[in-house]
Amino acid sequence: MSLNDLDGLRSGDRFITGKIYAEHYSLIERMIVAQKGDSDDAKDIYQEAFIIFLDNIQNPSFELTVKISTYLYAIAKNLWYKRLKVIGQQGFVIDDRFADELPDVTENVDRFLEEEQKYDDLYSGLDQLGEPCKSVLTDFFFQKLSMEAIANKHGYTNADNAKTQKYKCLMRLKKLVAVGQKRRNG
Amino acid sequence: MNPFSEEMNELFEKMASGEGSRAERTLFFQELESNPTLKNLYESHLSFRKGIEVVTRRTALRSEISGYHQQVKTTKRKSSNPISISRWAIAASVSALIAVGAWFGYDWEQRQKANGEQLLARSTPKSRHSNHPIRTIESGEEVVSGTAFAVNAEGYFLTSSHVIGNKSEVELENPEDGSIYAARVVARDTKYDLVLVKIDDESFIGLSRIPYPIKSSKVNLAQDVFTLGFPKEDIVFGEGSVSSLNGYNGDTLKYQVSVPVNPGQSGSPLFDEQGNVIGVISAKNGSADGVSYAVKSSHMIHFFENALEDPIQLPKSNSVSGLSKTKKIQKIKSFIFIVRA
Repeated sequence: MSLNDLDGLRSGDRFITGKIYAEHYSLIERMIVAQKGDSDDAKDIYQEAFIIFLDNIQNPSFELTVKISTYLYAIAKNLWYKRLKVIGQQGFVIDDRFADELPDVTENVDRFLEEEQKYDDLYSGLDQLGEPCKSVLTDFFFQKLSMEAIANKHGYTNADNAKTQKYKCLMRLKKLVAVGQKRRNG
Repeated sequence: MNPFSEEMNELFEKMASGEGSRAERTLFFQELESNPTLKNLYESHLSFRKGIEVVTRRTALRSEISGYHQQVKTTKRKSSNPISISRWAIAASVSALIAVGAWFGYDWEQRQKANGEQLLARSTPKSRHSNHPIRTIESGEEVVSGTAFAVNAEGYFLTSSHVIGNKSEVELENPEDGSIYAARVVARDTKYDLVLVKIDDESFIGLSRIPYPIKSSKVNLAQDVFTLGFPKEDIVFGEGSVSSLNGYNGDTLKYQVSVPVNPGQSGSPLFDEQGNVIGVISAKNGSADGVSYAVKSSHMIHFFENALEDPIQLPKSNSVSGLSKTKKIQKIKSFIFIVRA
């Protein structure tokens, strides 16, 4: 790991992210296949672990104290043991090369999973929202594009029109989320 | 009166992103302190925009990461895994059996409902399954088959209740590797034509993350839909569109879809273009071609809420919406099994 790698990951550099993703997969796959899983499970768990990793390093107060591989391994193991537990199996440790140096990631993983649960309705709401609303909101809240840029991209005559569109989309999304919550709460 | 106007939205956005003059900001935050309603609105707006940011970031990352996975060299399933061995062994013995007996003596029992709906369970004479590895069925007994799809990775599958009738034990086959599992009925609702079964079998080790959520949002007329099911031993893809928002004779429990379906496809999930489950195939019109009926997913949600004593966790996010149609189906089909009762 070099500092550049971490910076690249933080800034969303696709080349570096892809390289690091590919670099550590086999390590995780071996661990999961050795513990009752198959390569589909490995892929599934690794992808989730990688998201958690990327999510965590976005947090300015997060400090990576171990190698990227060790950190990914710890998260993947945590996720895999959770899943084994759900299906009524137990994990067992074979050749756990990191046993001594594994950081405690329970809090990181649990916080992520809690958020996923909390945002459940938002996930489905955004999914149902349709275009152009989805892109407008993503461009604004995630890409942090200016209203001028959004107007340009989506062909609105000016930033004010784009703002109105954004507002309408936001209200629609709120409504979808409210419907989802209502359904869940009976 | 609109409690949250566009002007208010703009003001909130301005304040949340740290813009505006100092005087404007001071005034705003003073106002917040003296106006609890406004404060509430502002705080819920903050948490909502934070949520949008998190969810869109994670969704974007997920689709980005799926791309990276193609660069990965995956090692194949390790044969040192005892569970895998048994699953593969079952797969081998079962496919031999099917190859020998296939397609002789099929008797398409067509159960006509008085109202013109034809249910889509498929019946086959028992003989084909006489050497069945898991469940022994009396000879002469008829095997009814349908399609079941996973709704929870622990082994919960949903199918049509008319496939199973009043049986309490069924078997599920994963056609991808030929594994056959014993399963029991967990909940049944004949009004909705739905039944939930759970695999109850030591050899089952769970599924990976289910890629399709169950949607109960509005479905639109003419919207494209597709389904995957088992009118024969191979999975069959069918597509069409929502041709009516109600089923036969104004049946509000179902949609009418222009997807060709055949016996054996009862219980097949109906997907929208993104790969969200929006219904369960249940019947077709006995006298008109290409007129099929699917139980609406809002009723599925209702069923899950009311028919279960202990709620199960349903799949919540869609990990296939960004994929091409063929990739989507490739991923989804691993979660669709054959059910026999």
